[in-house]
Amino acid sequence: MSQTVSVGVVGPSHWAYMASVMAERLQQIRNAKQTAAAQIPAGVYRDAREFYRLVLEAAGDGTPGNPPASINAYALAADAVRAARADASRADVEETLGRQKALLDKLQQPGGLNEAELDTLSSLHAFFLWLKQEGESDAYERGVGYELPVGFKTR
Amino acid sequence: MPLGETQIASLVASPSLGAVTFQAASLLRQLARINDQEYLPEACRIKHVFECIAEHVLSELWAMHNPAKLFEALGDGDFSRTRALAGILHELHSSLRYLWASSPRQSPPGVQGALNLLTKLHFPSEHAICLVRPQWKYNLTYVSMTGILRDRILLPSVLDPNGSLGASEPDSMLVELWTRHCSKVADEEERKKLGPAPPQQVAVLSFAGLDTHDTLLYPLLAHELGHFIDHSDRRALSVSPTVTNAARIREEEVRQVLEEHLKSSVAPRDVTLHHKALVDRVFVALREIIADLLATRMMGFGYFGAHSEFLKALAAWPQPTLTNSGYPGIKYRLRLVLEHLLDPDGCDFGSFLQEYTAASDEIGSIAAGLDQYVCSWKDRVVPVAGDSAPSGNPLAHALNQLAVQAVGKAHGELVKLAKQAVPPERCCRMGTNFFKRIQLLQQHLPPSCPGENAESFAEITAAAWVYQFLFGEEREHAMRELAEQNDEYTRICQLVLKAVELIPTGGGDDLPSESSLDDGVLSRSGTLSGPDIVARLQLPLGHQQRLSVIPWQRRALQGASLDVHLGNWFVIARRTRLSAVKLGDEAGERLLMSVGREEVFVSPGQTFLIHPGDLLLGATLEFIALPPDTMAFVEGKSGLGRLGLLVATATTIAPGFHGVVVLELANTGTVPLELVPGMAIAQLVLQVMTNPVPEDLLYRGKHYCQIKP
Repeated sequence: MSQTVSVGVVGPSHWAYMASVMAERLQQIRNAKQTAAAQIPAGVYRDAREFYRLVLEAAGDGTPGNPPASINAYALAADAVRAARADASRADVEETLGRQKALLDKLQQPGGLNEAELDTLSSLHAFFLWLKQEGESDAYERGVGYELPVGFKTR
Repeated sequence: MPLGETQIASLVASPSLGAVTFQAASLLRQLARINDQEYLPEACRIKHVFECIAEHVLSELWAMHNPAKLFEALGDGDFSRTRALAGILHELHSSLRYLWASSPRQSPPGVQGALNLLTKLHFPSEHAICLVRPQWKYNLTYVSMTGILRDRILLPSVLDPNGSLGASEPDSMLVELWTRHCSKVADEEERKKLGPAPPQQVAVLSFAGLDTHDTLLYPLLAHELGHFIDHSDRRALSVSPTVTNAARIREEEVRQVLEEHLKSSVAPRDVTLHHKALVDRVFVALREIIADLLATRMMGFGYFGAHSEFLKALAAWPQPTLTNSGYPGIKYRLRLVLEHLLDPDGCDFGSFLQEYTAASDEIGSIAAGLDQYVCSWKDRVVPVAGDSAPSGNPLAHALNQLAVQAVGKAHGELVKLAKQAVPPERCCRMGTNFFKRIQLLQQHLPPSCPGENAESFAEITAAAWVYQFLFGEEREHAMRELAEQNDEYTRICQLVLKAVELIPTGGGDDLPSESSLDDGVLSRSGTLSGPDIVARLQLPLGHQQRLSVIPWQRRALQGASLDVHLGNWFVIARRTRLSAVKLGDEAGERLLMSVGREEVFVSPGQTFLIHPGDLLLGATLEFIALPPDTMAFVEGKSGLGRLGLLVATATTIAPGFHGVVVLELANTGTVPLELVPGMAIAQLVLQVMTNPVPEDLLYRGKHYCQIKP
């Protein structure tokens, strides 16, 4: 009998900083109605795409590489989508996430955005804002539950 | 360059970055306390991984620091990043306790050594570190430090949002930080020790602190090592494609079960959450089962013995096939382990036993007893209707059945993967020394034999469990007092631990095969000559006049004595505020022993300084067992005495004594002397008495079977 943490399964706090920067940059893009080259910091953009990769792996028909990790990320993303539309079915969620991912892939290249893309951009912005808030709340919980190692001395 | 004290002080003074900087600097100070004199090399290497990340966090904070805008609030992005950097420090700081708890004072280094050998055996081409430590919780835990680093610490978006490190993946980011860290290490020797790359795989294996002295439970650590092997690749074995395909549960199946039982439609969010919970449950079960299979392949019967005894203390019998948390029930788990233990394609333990059960000697009788024991377990774990009993809630039961079916479908794939990860040539098979080790324990001797290697850990612990089941429990029950029974069990644990500690020494040399026994050697009294010592060592186990020295080393034999060597354990005196302890006052003496002394373990290859005027306790590497007709005297080596090192011991060793010999070492010279474990430190002069001592006068005091000072 052992107790072990599953590898790859992370809480929303893991994504908090990425979501915070993404929300901020998406707001700028929404205001400008166009994207610019490398507008999002490379490390942040990489993590945002990684999050969507995990989510869409669980949403699709295939078997995810790491089911607990993917389905964990998917449940988080589905919650965000359903925060705007509570009765969204699995197909609705998949469709929304698919559109968001397609737009996310284009964000680092310069170009204008059409109306449909601006709508998706708004939902993506709302999505990252939601994730940021969840993440910060999770980080707070983790911080409160944090126990100092035995014998710790501050000086 | 790492930040200097002035830069850190200036950052600490910053209203917005001060708190996080203080945390980073404090963490680095704590890490500096992990040193190679007091901690094992494994802990020191992990400390450097933590250091390189903490140093990078400090330099990132410095880059964010703008003295011109010291009192302006941070922007939203910078504020979030500072908090995320603090989160990384939090994770590092939280993991620091693993390093501290791994110190030899808390975690038996012998077990760390044995696991190092197993790790090397099963990760032959990789740079893997397994750190062992006790924990408060009564359980065992595997912590994938590599996983924590990848999932929670080395976050590219936080540590390097702009990609200036030129590494986009956590692993390559760590390599870059490691390279930078190493280039700042001034000492060339230290830099060489660190090597060009950080450890590729790092795990912390924790066992219940309560069981620190219960050596027989150490095979359970192989289960945690199994998790380590499972996770050693980027893609864990328990989530490899064949397994995930076999164990797949679709959201649609979950929705059907929910609607069937609730007789109404179910909100999509609820379906998603139930699906997630079931997938988690299945993968917890698969993860545990593959760790069990790998542990069985690595440790054989020792794992089954430890596992069955440990689970009995934790869980009710038989438990459902899968518990709500996903952990397989006790009966199901033991069945899978036993099946694999007996599987001809697995450990093939059944065939091994069959080879010996027919023999009419003592070994045959041990094998027959063990065979009977295994058969009784086979009967106990046979599945019967109602094993996966409903929890009382039909919906919960129906959902659990989905998980049970998924696990059942994937089991065959897990077995295949376990066989690939620990192939037949590395699978634990008992060797010729297996029965000898059991017989050594019957004589209260460490179950150690010449030719020890990485596989010996499994054989030693398997033999220990067989001894315990067939003889030890009976011996304990024959004792009237509970304390006596406990002392007897503790002795067995110590003997097993001594054998485990001796694995890295190779277990010593074989005794000469030709017998040196002449007709008179057993009837003569007086000081034993070298050849007579050998003759008595060669007597069969259980012989009334047999002398035992474990490990025996050929070079130790002298004309009229036997050299003994320095062990790895020392005890040094610690200053206390006790005013005085009256000799003879048991409570006072106990208090002094508890607070006035400190145990020190000196790793092989390291030395220990004894300063002029110092007195410390050491012990021989050799475990000695004197027969009833023999006593011994310990004499310091004259060469060492001339240098000022006195081996002033309670020089007489009583007949019937079993254990290592404790040496009081004093430096009476004027310069510090370096003690090296393994060096010849004293000599034993053995004296055969005119008559053997009767049973009731044989030494059975509190130091009987001691293995350290």
